[in-house]
Amino acid sequence: MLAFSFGAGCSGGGSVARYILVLPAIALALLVAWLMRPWFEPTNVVMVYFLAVILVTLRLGFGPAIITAFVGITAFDLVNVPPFLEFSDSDVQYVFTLAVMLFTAFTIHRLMQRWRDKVSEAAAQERRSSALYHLSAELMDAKDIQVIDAILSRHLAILPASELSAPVGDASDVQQAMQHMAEQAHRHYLLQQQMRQAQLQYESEQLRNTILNALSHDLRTPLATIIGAASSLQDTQAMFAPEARQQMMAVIHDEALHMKGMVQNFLDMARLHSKAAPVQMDWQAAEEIIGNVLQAQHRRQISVRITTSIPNCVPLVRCDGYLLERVLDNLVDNAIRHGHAQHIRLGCEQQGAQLCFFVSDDGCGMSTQDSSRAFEPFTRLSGDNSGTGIGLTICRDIIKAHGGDIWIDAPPGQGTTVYFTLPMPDAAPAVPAEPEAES
Amino acid sequence: MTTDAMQILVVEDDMQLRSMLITSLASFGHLVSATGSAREARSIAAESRLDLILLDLGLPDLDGSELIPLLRQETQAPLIVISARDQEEQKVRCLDAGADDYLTKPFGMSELMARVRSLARRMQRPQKEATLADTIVIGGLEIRLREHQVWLHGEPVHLTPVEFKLLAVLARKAGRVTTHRQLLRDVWGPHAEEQNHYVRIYMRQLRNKLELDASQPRYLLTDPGVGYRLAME
Repeated sequence: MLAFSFGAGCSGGGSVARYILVLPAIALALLVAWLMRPWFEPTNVVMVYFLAVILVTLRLGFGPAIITAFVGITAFDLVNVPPFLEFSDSDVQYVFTLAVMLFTAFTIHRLMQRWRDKVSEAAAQERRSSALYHLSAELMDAKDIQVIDAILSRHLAILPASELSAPVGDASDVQQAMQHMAEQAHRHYLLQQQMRQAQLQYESEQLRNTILNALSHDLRTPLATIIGAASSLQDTQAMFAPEARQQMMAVIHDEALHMKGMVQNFLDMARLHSKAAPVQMDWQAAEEIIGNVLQAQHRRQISVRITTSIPNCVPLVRCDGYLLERVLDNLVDNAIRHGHAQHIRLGCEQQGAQLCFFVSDDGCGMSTQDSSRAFEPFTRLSGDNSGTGIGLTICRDIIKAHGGDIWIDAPPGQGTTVYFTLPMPDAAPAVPAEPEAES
Repeated sequence: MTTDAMQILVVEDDMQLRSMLITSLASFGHLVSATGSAREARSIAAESRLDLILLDLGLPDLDGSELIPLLRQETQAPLIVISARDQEEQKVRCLDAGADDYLTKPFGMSELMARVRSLARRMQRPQKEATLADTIVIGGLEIRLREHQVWLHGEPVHLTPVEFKLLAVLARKAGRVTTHRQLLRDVWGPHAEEQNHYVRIYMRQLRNKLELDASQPRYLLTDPGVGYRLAME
């Protein structure tokens, strides 16, 4: 039995092959009809030819089926219907049989055609939908507008022009559908950007408002002292002993410096939270940074003793020198102002891939409650209302921006030590070698 | 320590600060003229003999760093720029363009007078820069520029050629600041102007050799963010 595959239709080789294959099919049909002749009525034998026509249509196509029909009817007439081996007038009725056979073949052929068309159309639709799906999946991951456009052009280039202009889903053609998707992705991206902007703006507004509130409150106190002292000194009716006069003027100077420090802190805070490169990294020498802080503190003529502990060969560290000085300055100020220290030690030590700085004082330490909240903005020590409460917050933000860590060790009554680390790069910076010459 | 009375020009547009500067300088015996505009500053510089100029960078009609070359056409008087904290780059530009030193607002009078004194001392020497024949003595430090020798408290100190060159550049402008860029250019050449770490490494080496405590230097002082200076006294 020949294996007929319904799926292939007339795709078994070229048209010549199909017409050649008709011959064995017809021969087989003739043989079977001839064998059936002794036992079957002609009405049943003609079914063999019908069957042959149907099978040939399914497998070999309409053209070969026509040949099969003609040959079959002729054979049937000549062999199975008396008078045998000749045509008679009453045989004209078999034209009707032939016509029905042809009609059946034609119908089957048309049905198969329609079915094949539907299958290939469905496959094409599936391909187009799949292309759109892949485009959409890629667009979802796209990070910006150029990437979106690149993805779109890539997908448009993959498909042939015929596919691009074919309809898919509700769209009139694939190209339009793809462009529409890209437009959606654009819009989505822009909306996301806007949202992000709005969020940032909101956050910076919040920060600004908080700073403004704190500023207005915390600057008024030293201002009150300055204005009070200055206006007293101006009052010609007041009589001041020279020491008292000097003291008033010293108070004015001190409070003004205190305000300068506060303003510095707020500006640094705002700068750190702005988007424009807040940290300017450069190679710095630890002993130089510490030295600068000492110099600044001594200029304020403080009575606290400050000593340093810096090993000799600490490599250069990569950091923002100004910001690092602000950290140390804030920590020393805290030790003096809140810790009531008499002696402060500044130093650093290399620990593996990090440089660890410390500011240690012999003051009053902190309660565990205070030290756990110390780095939160606008928190002051319990029972201490001076200062703005952002000194330690700024230190934390600066150290974090450098990729380091900061922590406090302050047992109550035993002094406070603040440690912070800065990552050290693997390679120390090099200088060109000097020729060996005595000076 | 007092200096002789100087003719000082104050270029400052903020009225309060200007009047504070005039009063303070006058109380030390100096003769002060003042203006808030760049144009007037130029004409004063052209007409009078000046010993010192104080120039604020925030002038309304002309940027300080552009005014300096114009002033330098009229006078070689020492020039101190007054700047706010966030004008670092502008400050360094001015120093590179011909200013001699700087002050950062807010500053105290002692800082101002210290700067004025060190610049006045320069005026007491001959006009051009110290020649190679000079020996510079600051406290226990003695630098013999021509012999390439350095003595500290009577003992000779061995410096490598680059270390000495760095010290010499600072010494020729003793009391005044030299920017990082100027140091890199004068010691290592124009191609090295961006290599800040060269200066840091060599300053550390110099301090280790010359200072009692490298983190609290007596002679080799740091001007954070700007450069270095050799102490005057």
